[in-house]
Parts: sequence; C-alpha cells; structure tokens
Amino acid sequence: MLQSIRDKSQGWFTWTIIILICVTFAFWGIHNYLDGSSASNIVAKVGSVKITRQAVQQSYQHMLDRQRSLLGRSPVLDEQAQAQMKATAMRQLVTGEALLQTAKKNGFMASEEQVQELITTLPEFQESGKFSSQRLERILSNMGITYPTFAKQIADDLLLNQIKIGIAQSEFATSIEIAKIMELLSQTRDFSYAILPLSKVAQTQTVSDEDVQGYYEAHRDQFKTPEQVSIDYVVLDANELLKQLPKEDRSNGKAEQLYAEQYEQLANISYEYPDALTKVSEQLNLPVKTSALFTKQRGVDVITDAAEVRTAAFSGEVLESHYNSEVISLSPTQAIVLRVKQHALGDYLSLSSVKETIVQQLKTEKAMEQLGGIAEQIAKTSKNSTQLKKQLQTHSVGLQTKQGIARDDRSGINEVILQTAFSLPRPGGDASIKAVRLPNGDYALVELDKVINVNHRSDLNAELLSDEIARDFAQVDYELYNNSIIERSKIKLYVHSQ
Amino acid sequence: MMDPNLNEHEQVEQIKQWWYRYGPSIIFGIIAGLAVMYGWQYWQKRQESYSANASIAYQKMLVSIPQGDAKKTQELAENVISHYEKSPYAWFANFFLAKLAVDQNNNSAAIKHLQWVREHAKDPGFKTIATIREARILLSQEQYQQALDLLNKDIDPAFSTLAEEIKGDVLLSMGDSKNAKLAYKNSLKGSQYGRDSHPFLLMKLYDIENSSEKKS
Repeated sequence: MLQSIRDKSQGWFTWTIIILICVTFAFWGIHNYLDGSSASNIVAKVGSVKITRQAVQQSYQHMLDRQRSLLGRSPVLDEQAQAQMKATAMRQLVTGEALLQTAKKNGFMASEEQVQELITTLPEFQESGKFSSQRLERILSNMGITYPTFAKQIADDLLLNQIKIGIAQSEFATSIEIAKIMELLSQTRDFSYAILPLSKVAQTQTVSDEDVQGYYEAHRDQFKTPEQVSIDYVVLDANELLKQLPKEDRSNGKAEQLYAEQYEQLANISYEYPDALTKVSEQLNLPVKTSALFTKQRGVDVITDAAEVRTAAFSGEVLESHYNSEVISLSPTQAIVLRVKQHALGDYLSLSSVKETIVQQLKTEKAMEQLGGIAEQIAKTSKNSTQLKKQLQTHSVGLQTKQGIARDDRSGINEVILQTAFSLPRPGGDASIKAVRLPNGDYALVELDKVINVNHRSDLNAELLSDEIARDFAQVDYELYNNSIIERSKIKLYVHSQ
Repeated sequence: MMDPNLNEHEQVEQIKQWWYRYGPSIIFGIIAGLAVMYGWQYWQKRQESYSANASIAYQKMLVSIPQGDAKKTQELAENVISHYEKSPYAWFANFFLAKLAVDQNNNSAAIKHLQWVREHAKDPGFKTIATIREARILLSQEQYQQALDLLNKDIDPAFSTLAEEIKGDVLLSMGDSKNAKLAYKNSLKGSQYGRDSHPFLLMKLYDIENSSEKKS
C-alpha cells in the first residue's frame, strides 16, 4: 500500500514536516494505552478512553529521553522532580486526548491520504533520500507497534498540529500594542536604594544554651553523617550484544532489535520478580554486580556516578520496600536494573561537635526576622524621600541614587534591586517605596523617584517586537484553549495507593 | 394467524387475503428501510470526504505560510472558506485572513473575518479567541466602548484572564488608570500556568501610577 505512494509528491508536504516534526514526536505514545488495562492500571479516563499507568510511564520516559538529548547527559532529578514530571506527563496525555476528542466532535479530520503522504516524507523512514517501506516495517517492529496503530498516532498528531498552528500562527500584534510595548521597553527609571546589612544585626543577637539544645533535638536528623547504600545491579549493554552476534548480522539492525527485545524483557522480568535479580540474571545471561557503599550525593564508580542511579537507589520503592528499581536508561545503548544490597544509616553527631554551627544558624535566623521587620516598617511608614532618609539615618545607612537606568542595565546594580525598581508603581499621590530581601540575606529599601519615557531605543526592531507580541498572545491563546477543553471534557482521575 | 381447523384451500385463501392487505406496506417498509440505510451511508461518506478535503485544503494553506507569500496564503484561505464553509477549517481560514488584514493595516476587513468566526464557530473556545482579537483591533481604532462591550459578554470562562488584560488596555487608553490597574490585577490573579512569567502584562501593571495605594 505504501509502495504505491512512495514516489508521490515531496513538494509541499516537506514544508509540513518542518512544521510538524518536533511535535510529532512529542505526542508519541499517546495511544499505547489500549492494551492490558486492568482497573488498577487505569490512572485517568477522558470520556470513555482509558489512560493507563504504562502510557504515563512511557510518556515520562520520552520526556527523560528528550531532556537527555537536549542536555547531552542524564538530567539530575530528585524524587519530587520525578513525581512532578510524571504528573506533567499525565496532564499532557489527558489534555492531548481531550483535545483530540473535541477536535473530532468539531469536525476536524485527518484523512488516510494525508497520513500516508506524511509517513512517506518523515526522514526517519528514508533510506538514501527515499522512503523505504522495509525501513518503516523494521522500525515499527522494533518499537513493537503495528502499522494501523502507528498510522493512528500520526493522524492524531496531524490533527493536534492543525489546531495548534491554526491558533498560534494566526495571532498578530496591533500597531497600538507594538507602540505601547516599545514605549515600556524604552523607558528608564530614576531610583534610590539603601542596603541594611544582615551581619551587623546578627552580631548583636544572643542565643541561649537551651535554644541550642532545643534546636539540636528538634533537628537531630540534620546532624548526621550521610546515609549510605550499596547496590546489586545488572547492566544490559547493546555493544556487548553486538559482540555476541555473528559478523554478518552486525550491521543490519539486528543488534538494535535484540537490544529492544531484551530491554523489554529486562523490564518485565524485574517487575514480575521484584524481590531479587537472580531471575533476570539467569534469563538474560547478565552477571549481577555489586557496588561499594555510596551516598545520595556522591557515587563511587562509573555506575553510581549517574545521578538517576543514586536517585533510584534512595527512592522509597527501592530503599524501603526493597523492590527492584525500574529500568534506568544510562544511555541509548545501556540500561540498568538495581536493588539495594546494604543500607547504612548515618550516625548522629554529638551536640558539642555541632554547637557552633547551630549558634550561627540561630543567630542568622533571628537576625533575618528582625531585619525584615525593620525594613518593612521603614517602607511602610515613609511617606516621602525625606522621611525615608531620616529613618535610614537612625540605622546609619545612606541612600544611593541612580538615574536614567534602563530595564536591562548592565552597570552592576544588584539584579534584585533593579527588578524591584522596575516593579514599583509610578510615584503618584504617595511615594513608591518597597523593602526587598537580597539573596545574601541583606535587605534593600528601594524608592522609585521618576519614570522617564525616552524616545524609542534604537536597538528595538518594530518588526521583531511585533512577532514577539504575537507569539506571546499565541502561547496564551493555546494555553487557555487547552484549559477550556479540560474544563469542558469529562475527565476522571484515579488515585491508586502504591 | 393460521387456524388449524380450516382445510388447505381455505388456508391458501387466508394467506392471499393477508398478503393483499399487508403486502404493499411490507414492501414499502423494506424499500424505505433500505433507502434510509443507504442514504445514511451515502450521507456519512459525503460528510467524511467533505471533511477530508477541507483538511487537505487547510493543510495546503498552512504549508504556504513559511514561504512568506501572503497573497498565496490569502488565496488558499479564501479557497477553504468558499468550498468548505460549513467545516471548522473555515474558522481557522478566517483567523488567518484576519491576521493578514491586520498586517496590511486593513482593520475593518480583519474585524469582518473575526466577526464571522464569532458568529459561526461552534466551539466556545474559538468563538472567544475571535472575540478577544476583535476587541484588540477595536481598541487600536479607538472604539473603546465597543471593545469593552465585546469583552463583557460571551467570554469562555477559561479565557477570562486574557479578557481582563485587554480590558485593562482599553481602560488605560480611556484614561481610567484606576480600573485598568484593577483589571490587570484580576488578570494576574486568575493566571495559573506560566502567565505569571508573562512579562508584558507585568510591565503594563507596573507602569501605572501609585495613587494612594497604601491607604487601601
């Protein structure tokens, strides 16, 4: 079927590809939730369509893969960040499905003809510049999906893109909007600021022995040598598989196929027998290796240097429930499953050895609170510059004045102070004064003196600005449209205790 | 219906009578049933090929955009509307025609296209997008009251943050900075996803005078 259309038009569709390509793969896997959906596996329902845990997991893996290829290394994620990413993956799946259902109800449609033409032009399925149906079949069988499933995914992606582009590319900026933003970007501001240093207030703080004792007891877990674990693990390595193949099979994709199959088995077996690695080791003929003890922050060898390995080893599933980890991709050709072998809790440190740290900590905390109160009070009670100066004098600090400062000033003014000066309202009936904490703990008082609308900056290009405003509206339109769909759709989320 | 006490001849007579009585209706029923069935299939097929062709025509228009030939895009968009007026792709084609008109400073044409979407789109989201875009153009034509009227009716609740921001823009242009500030703040309050990082809204808000804010 595909053969017959393989040489068809490459013209205008090539452009479509350029528009579509990124998003095509972003929605990959949306529809893989049709298989094996027992009740406990369903995490959400959109209309009558079920979304399974596997689909979320798969989409999460794709997000990780994308980050990996963007960063050039594995992203470092703690458990919270992982949970957040999984939630995002699920939201994307749910939103995508809801968008699709609404689109179809509205009468949007991707024809079979469009889908086939699109598939024949995807660079993934080209061999020496031409569409190859053998290559398509090989890739699909590696991914373990059938052609109809794949075609459906492409059709869905196409639909979603028609809508996304329809909303986004048709946005514009009116002449008034451009002029307004141009004016705001060009404006400069005169402002004054004073810094109340934390160190001075910290010195005057007193901390009693009882306070120290109390803090020590309330935060015992902070004062420990770090917790350590050692792990047992098996590594699946595509390069090792390659070596085992007969020479004539090494270059025709057999190794990749074998790796994909074994990866699947690795995931299944280690999930079915969660209490040991022996089964995986026997079935896939992979030796179980053991690491030395390491901490959450620092590895001891190549394997434990990978942040996702340490995160997995210290996760609740692996550390407390003693299960095998999920399969972790270390690279596109290397995957690992691990379980905790030994768990060494940290030792508590004695009060005397941490006393000085606690004293400093408490002094800083108290000083910060006190200083914040002082700064807020000054900001609140100063009705004008004179009053502000007077109050600052009692703390023996003076005001510094800056004039004609641009939004993107690079003269070395503290970033937080600069931002504060540009987020204060124009001084009108009252002075415009604000207290703000600086990253180092000091407090700054910032007073906006004057807003100056200067002529348009020469480095601002009206055309580029117009594009940027349109893009900004486009993003908001699409986001709000998604929200609208979510609110209108029948969505059920299921929470399972794991 | 068959009486076992009757002889063969009488039974045949009875069947004949029955057929004379009900036959025409049965035949008519079967024909009508088939007609409805085939008609439905035909209608569905037509509907499907109508949608599919509209989709292809729209895709052709999309693909012309990166080529930068506004005239060609305009022709292709008009083609979608003239041939597939009842398809949702006509809504998008009108969105694109409105954009092209704004880029050519033809505000009244842009308003016409957006009005069409506002009146014809069946999806409240697209209706609202058209409404808000129309209000923005009215603002640039200094038709402030018309813009406010649009923003105050028939806005899909999901879009209220954006509608509030545009209301702020209009009020500011009308010289009502107090209510403009209120509208901008409402817009900011309602935003959940990424809208907080929307720099233009904040810039506009922070540019408004600090008139006795501390009293409140």
